[in-house]
Amino acid sequence: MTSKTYTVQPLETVFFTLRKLKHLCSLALVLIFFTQSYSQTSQIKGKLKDKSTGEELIGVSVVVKGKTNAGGSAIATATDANGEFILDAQPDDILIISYLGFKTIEIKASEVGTAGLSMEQDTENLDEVVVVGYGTADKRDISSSLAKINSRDFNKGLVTGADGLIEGKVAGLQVSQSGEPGGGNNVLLRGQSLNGQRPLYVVDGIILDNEGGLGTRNPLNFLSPNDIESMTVLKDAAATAIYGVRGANGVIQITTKVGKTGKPVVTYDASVSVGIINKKPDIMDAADFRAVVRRKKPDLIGELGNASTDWIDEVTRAAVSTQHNVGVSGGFKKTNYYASVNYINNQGVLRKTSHDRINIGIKLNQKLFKDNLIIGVGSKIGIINDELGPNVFGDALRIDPTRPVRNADGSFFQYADTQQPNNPVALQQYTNNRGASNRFLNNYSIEYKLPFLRGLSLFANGSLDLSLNKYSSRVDSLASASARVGGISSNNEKEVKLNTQFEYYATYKKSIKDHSIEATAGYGYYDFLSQPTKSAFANNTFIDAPLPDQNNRLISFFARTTYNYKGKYFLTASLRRDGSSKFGPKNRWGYFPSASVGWRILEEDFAIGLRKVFHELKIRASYGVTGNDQIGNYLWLQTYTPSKSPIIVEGDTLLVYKPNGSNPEIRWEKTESYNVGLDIGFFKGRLTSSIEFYRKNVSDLLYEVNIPAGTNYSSRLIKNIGAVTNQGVEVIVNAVPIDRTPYQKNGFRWNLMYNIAYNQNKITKLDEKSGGELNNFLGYPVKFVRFSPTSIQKVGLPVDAFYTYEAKTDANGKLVLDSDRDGIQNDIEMYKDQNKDGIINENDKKVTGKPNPDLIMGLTSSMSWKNFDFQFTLKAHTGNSVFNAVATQGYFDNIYLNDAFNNLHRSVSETKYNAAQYLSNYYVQNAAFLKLTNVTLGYNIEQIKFMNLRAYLTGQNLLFITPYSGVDPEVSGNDYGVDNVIYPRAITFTAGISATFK
Amino acid sequence: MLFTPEPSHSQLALVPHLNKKYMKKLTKLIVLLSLLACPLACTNLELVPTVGANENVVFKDPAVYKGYLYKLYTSFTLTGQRQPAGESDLDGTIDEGFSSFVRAYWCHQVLSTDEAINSWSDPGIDHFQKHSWSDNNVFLKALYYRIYFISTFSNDLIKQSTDEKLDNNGIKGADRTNIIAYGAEARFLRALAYWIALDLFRNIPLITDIGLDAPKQVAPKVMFDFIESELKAIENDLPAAKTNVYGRADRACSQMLLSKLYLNAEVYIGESKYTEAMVEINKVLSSGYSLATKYDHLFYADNFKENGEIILPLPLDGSTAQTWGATTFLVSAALSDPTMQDNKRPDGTPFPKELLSLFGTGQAWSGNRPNEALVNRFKGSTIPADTSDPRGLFWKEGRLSAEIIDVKVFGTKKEGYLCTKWKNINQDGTAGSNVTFSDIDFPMFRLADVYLMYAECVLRGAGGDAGIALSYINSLRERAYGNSSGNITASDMTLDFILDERQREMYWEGTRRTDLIRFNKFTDNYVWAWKGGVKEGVSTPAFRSIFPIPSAEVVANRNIVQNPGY
Repeated sequence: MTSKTYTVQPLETVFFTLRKLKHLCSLALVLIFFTQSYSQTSQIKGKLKDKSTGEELIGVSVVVKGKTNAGGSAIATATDANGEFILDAQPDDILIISYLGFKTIEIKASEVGTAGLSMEQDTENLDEVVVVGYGTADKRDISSSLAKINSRDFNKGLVTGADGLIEGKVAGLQVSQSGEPGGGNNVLLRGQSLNGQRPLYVVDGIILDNEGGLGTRNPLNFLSPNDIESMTVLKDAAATAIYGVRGANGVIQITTKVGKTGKPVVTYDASVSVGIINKKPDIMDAADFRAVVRRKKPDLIGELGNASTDWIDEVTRAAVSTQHNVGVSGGFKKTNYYASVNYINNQGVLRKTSHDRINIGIKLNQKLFKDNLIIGVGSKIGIINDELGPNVFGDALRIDPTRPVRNADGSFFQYADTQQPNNPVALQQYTNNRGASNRFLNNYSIEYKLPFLRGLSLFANGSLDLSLNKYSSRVDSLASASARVGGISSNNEKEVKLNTQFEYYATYKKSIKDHSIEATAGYGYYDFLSQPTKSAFANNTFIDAPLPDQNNRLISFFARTTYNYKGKYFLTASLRRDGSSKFGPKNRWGYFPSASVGWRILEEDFAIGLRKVFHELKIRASYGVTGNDQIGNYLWLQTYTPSKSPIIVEGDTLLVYKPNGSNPEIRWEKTESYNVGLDIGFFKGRLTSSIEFYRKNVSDLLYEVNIPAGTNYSSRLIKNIGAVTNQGVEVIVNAVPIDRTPYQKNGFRWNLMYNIAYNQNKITKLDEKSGGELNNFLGYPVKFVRFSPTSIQKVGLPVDAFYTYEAKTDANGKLVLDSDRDGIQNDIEMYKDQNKDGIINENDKKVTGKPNPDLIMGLTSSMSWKNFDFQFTLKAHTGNSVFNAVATQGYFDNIYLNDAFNNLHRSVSETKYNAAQYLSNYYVQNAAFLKLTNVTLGYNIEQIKFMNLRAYLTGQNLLFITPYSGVDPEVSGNDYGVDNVIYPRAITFTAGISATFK
Repeated sequence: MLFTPEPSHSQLALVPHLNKKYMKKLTKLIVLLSLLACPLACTNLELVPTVGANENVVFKDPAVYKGYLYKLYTSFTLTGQRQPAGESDLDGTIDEGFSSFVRAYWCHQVLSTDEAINSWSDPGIDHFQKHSWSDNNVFLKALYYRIYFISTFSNDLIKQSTDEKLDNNGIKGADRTNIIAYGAEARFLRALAYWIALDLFRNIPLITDIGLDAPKQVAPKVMFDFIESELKAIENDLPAAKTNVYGRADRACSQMLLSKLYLNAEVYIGESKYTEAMVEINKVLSSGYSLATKYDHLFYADNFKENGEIILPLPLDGSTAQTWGATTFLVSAALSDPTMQDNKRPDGTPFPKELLSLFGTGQAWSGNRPNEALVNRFKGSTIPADTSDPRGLFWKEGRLSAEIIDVKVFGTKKEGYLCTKWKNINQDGTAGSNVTFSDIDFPMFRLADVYLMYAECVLRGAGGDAGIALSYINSLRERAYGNSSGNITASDMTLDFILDERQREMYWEGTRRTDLIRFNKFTDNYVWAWKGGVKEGVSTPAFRSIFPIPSAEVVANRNIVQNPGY
C-alpha cells in the first residue's frame, strides 16, 4: 500500500494554527514511544499531506523498518508543524509512515521526494465502523440515529453490569445503576411509555431475551465488562426497524473483543474496591425518639427500651470488592483468538447481599478456502452466585431505636407479635436468600464470500443461550414469628432457560462508478424457552408443584438496502416481517418498515469553500415503524393454571385449576418514529457536534387495566389501550479544548464529551372503556402503607404523573393542619378543596409532579498530563419529582401501634402530621440532581520493558446536589417514581492496576 | 415357494462398497440440510403452556372437573392458588388477605351493624362501623370482585358441563353423570353469589357468559327472577338433602337460599313473598336436620361433626385449606394476647400459652371487639329479664367494661369485651390442627336460622303454626340455657323479639345487616355505639342500606350507573 502521488501544497488557511495543534498532538504521541533518533549516513527529508484536502499533516510517525539505533530503540521521527520530517536513513531503507485515521505507507527512503507524499484516509478505520443490524456500516454513511461508545470511554471502577458502562455517555439514554451488588440497571431510551421499557440487547449478533433469569439481578451478568470492545446504541426506528417487533425501545449492540493478528497480548487487571453507604434514611435516633415519646405518649414512656440502636448501621457495612481479569488475544495469518477469565467478588453495603462471579469469554475466528470462508465460534460463560438479602430496610426503618440488637442473655431481641417489625439483624442472621445462575451463551457463525459471484456473501449464525438458574430462600426456626409467617421455612426454585437463534442472510455489495449499493435479506428463527420448577417446604410438608413452561417464538424475514451516490447522498430502506407467538392468529404477523436519507454537504462541489471551516456537515432524516412485544406469554389464549397446593377431599388429592384471563384481541405496541439530525465537525474533528430532533408515537399501548367485573377470569387484563408521544432534542458535543501535546512531550490534553437531551412525554389517547384514566398503585412501599394510589395515567398528562391532594400552606410556607384549633387535623382543614364542594375526596386530587425528567445531561472530562490521566463524569436530571414514601411513616399516631413502638421519620417534626397522609403532595418532592458519578486518576508506568503498567484510583457516586430530602433522588424507574427505600448506591473507591504484557 | 434365488457373491460385495463411497457424502449432505432445514421448517407459532394448557387439553381429563368444582367451592374461603396466600385469585391491586369471601362478607354484614367494632388502621375498615364507606373502599372492592370471580368461575363450569362440551371432550359414562351434577352445583353457587350481590349492591350486572364486552346493570327484579328460576330449575338436579359429600351443595341448600331470597323480597323488589318463603322453609324443615346438642360446638375446630344442624358449611382446614381470611380471621382478629395474659408480652416467646390452650391459635390480631349493644342484648330488659343468656360468649376478665371509648386502641386500654364465639379447639379440648390457621368450617346456613325464619314468617302472616314456631324458638333457648328456664311464652314472641333473638343466636355469623334492613332498623329507627362515627350513635342516610359499586368497576365499565347517594 504505497502512494507516490505528488501534489502541490495548498495555501495556508486561517485555520492553520488550529490544525497544527491537532497534528502536534500526534507528534507528541510518537515522541512518547520513540524517544531518540540517531544520525546515520544520510538525511532523508520529506513532507506529508492529506490526499483529499491537501493539508499538511503534523505528527505523522516515520519509522525505519527493522532497524534500531545503538541503544536498541527504533529509528523514528515525526513530522513537524509544516508537515515536514528529517530522518537519518540509508536510501535502501524502508520507511513506515503511519498516522491515525490514514492508510499506512511503506516506501523506500530514496523514493521520498521533497514535493511531498500524500496520505489517503483509511475508511476501514475501526473507530469509523459501526455495527448495525445484520452488518456493519461506515459511520459517515449512516443516516439514522445511533451512538457508539468505545471501551476507552466506558465508566471506570466497579461496574459489574455492561449497561452501567455507558451511564451518562449517550444522549437520550437514561441509565440508573442499581446499588445492589451485581444489580440490574434501569435503562430507558428517549422517554417513558407505559409498558416494557427495556431496550433490546444484541451481543455479537445474538439477540438476548429481555427477561432476567430467576435469582439473577442483572441479565447481563454473564458478560464481563472487560470483554466488551464497544457498545452501539441504535436510537431511531430507521436503525432499529430491522429488529421489528422488538425494536421500539431502542437496541444496544454489544461488540466483544477479538484477537488481532500478531503476537499474543496478555493482559492482567486487578482492583479492590470499598463501598460505603452514602446517606442514611432520615429516621429518628434513640434520643430524639425518646423525646418524642415523652411529649406525645408520656403514659407509655415506661415501655421504651434502654438501648440506643442505630438499626441502619447494624444492617450495613463497608463493602469490600475485588476483581481480577486475565486476557490473552492474538492471531495467526488465518486465525484470530481471544480468551479471558474474569473474577468478581462484590459485597453489598447491606449485609447478606453479595455478588460473586466468574466470567469466561472465548472467541475464535478461522479463515478457510482463500479467506472466502470465515468460521467463528464464541462463548460467553457466567458462573454467578448471589446473596440476595433479606431486604431489611422496612424493618430497620420501623423498629423501635430504643430496643437492643440482643437481649442480656445474648439472644436476639424479637417481638412475638407478627404485626411488629422484625429485628432486622436477626432477620439477616436467620434468613438466607440465594441466587445462582450458570449461563452459557454460545454462537457459531459462518460467512461465505462466493468466489464466483463477487460481492455476494452468505451468512449463517446459530446461537444457544443456556442458563441454569436457581433461587433458594431459607428461614431458620429461630427467626421471629413474623419472618416465619405462613410456616414456609425453605423454598427452592429452579429454572432452565434455553434460547435458540438461527439466522440466515445474504449480503450483496456492488459499486458501479459513483453508485454503490448494498442489499441484505434473510430469515431468522428465535425461540425462548424457560422451564421453572419449584419445591417448597412448608408446614412440615414438601410441596413440589409443576410450573408452566414459558415459551415464545419469533419468526422473521428481513431485508435492507442502502444506496449511496458519490459518498454524498445516502438512502437506506429496511423491512422486517415478524411473527410472534405472543399474539393470537389474527394479530400475529406484522410488517416493520423504515427509510432514511442523508446528505453530506461537504462532498458537494459548491461546498469546497466550506471544507476550510468544516470537517463534517451532514443532514439526515428518517422514519420507521417498530414494535414492542414485552408482555407475558399465552396472554391471548384461554389457559388454566394448576394450584401450587393441592386440595385433599375425601382422600382424593386434587390439583385445582384456575382459569386465567385472556384477551384474544391483543396485539403488539406500534411505535412510529421520526428523526432529523445534523452532524457538524470543525477543526479536523477537534470539535464535533450533533443535534437531533425526534418524535416517537406509540400506539396500541399495552397496559394492564381493570376490566368489567365478571366478564373475564381476571379483573385485570393487558389490553391495547392508548397512545403516548415522546418528543425531544438531543445535542452532543465532543471537543478537545486544550491540547499541549504537540508542543511538549506528554503535554496537557483535555477532552470533553457532553450530551444533553430534552424529552417531553404525553399520553395522547386512552381507551374510553378504561374511563380515560387509570390509577397506579403503590403496593407496600414500606411495610404498612396500603394500596394508596399516588399517580395517574390520563390523556394530556405525562406518564405516571403524581396525583395527590394539595396541602394548604400559610404565608411562611408551613403546612396548615388545624385551622379551627380543635386539636383535630381534618382533611378539609389540611387540603385544598379543589372543586369547592365542602369535602375532600378523589375529586380534589391534582397533578403535583411527574417522575420523568425534562432534561438529562452527561459530561465526561478526560485530561492527561505526563504520565497522569484524570477523568470525571457528571450526570444531571431536571424536571423530575419523587414521591418520598419513606417519609410517609413520619406521623405521630404511628409511634405506638398494636402495643409496640414504631420509629418515626424525621419529616414529622416538619409536617406535624398526626395521622398518615399517604396522599399529601408534601411527599412529592423536586428530585432534580447533579451527580459526580465517576472520578478516575491514573498513572502509567513506562519504565518496565516487557509490559505496560497502569495504576489507577476511581471514586464512584462521590457526591450529589439535590433538593430532594430522601436518600437518593434517582429511584428505580419501575416504581413510578416512588422512593420505596431503594437499595443505597454506595460511595465506592477503587484502586487497581492494568498490565499488558508484550 | 419352490425356488428362492440366492444373491450372487458379487452382488453382496457391491452393496457395502456403494455404501462406503456414497453414504459418507450423503450423510454429510443430510446433516447439513437438516441443520439448515430444521429451523426453517419450524414455523409453528402456536405455543401453548405445557402445564395447565388450554381448555381443550385440560378438560379431556375427567378428574380435572372435580378439582375445578372444588376450586369453585374454595373460592368462598381461600384466596389464591397457593396457601395460605400467593397467586391471588383477584388482581394485585386487591390485598389478598382482604379478598377471602368469608372475611370480606363478614366485614360488610357485621362491622356495619351493632355487632362489632374494629380497631385497625387499614384505610377504610373503620368506615363500616361509621357508616361512611365510599366507593373507593378496598374491602368493598375485594368483596365485589370476589363475588364476580365466583360467578365467572361458575359460568365456566356450567359451560364445561354441557352436553356439547362433554361430547367434544369425549367424557362418557359415570364421569359424565357426575360432571353434569357438578354443573347443577355450579348453578347453585352462582345463584348464591348473585343473591349476596343483590343483597349488598342491589343494582348489578347479570353475566352468564365470558368475554370482553362491558355488561349493563339489570333491575333488581331481573336479578331476583333469575336467582329464583335458577334455584327452581336445579332443585331436582341437586342431590337430596344430606346425601352429597360434606361441604357441597344439596337440595336443602338450594331451598334454604330460595327461602332467604323470598324472606327479603320486600327489600329487594318491593313485593312481600313470605308465603313463598314458608313453602321453602317447610321443605328444609322436613329434610331431617336436627339441632346440635351444644351451641358452642357449632363454632369449634371440629364443627364438621355438627352436620346434623349445619346445612351448608364452607369447609376449612388448618393444614390443608389455609387462609388469612375466613375463620382464621374470625378467631384471630377477635383476640388480643396482652389482655389474655394480663401482663407484658415476654419478648422472644413465640406463642402465648393461654391463647393456644383456650382458643387453639397463636395468632392474636387485636381487631374485632363486640359492640356494647351486642353485649347488652344478652342481659337487661329483654325476655327473660335479668338472666344472662349463655350464648353471649364474651371474655370479660381484665377488661374494663363493654363500653369502647377509644376505638383504635384494643390491648392497652382494655376497653370493650372480647368475643370468643369462634374457637379453634376441638370438642375434646385439644387445639386445632394448626396453631396459625383455623380448622373451623364457616356455617353459611344452619337449622337454627330456619327455625327463626319459620317463626318470623308465621308472625308476618305467611301461615304456618304459631305453636310450632314457639317450640322452635324454645328449643334454641333450651339448648342455650341447658333447661327450660329461658323459655318464652306465646305472647313474648313478637317480631321485635325475633330480631333480637336472631342476634342472640346468629351474632358474628354474617346475617345481621340483612336482618336489620329487613326490619328497617339499619340506617334509621335504631342507633348503637359509634354508628355514624359518634360514640352515642346517630341515624344515617337511607341510601347506606346498599353499598356503592366499587370505583374501580365504575372506571372499568362505562355502562355502570353508581347507586344513588354515592
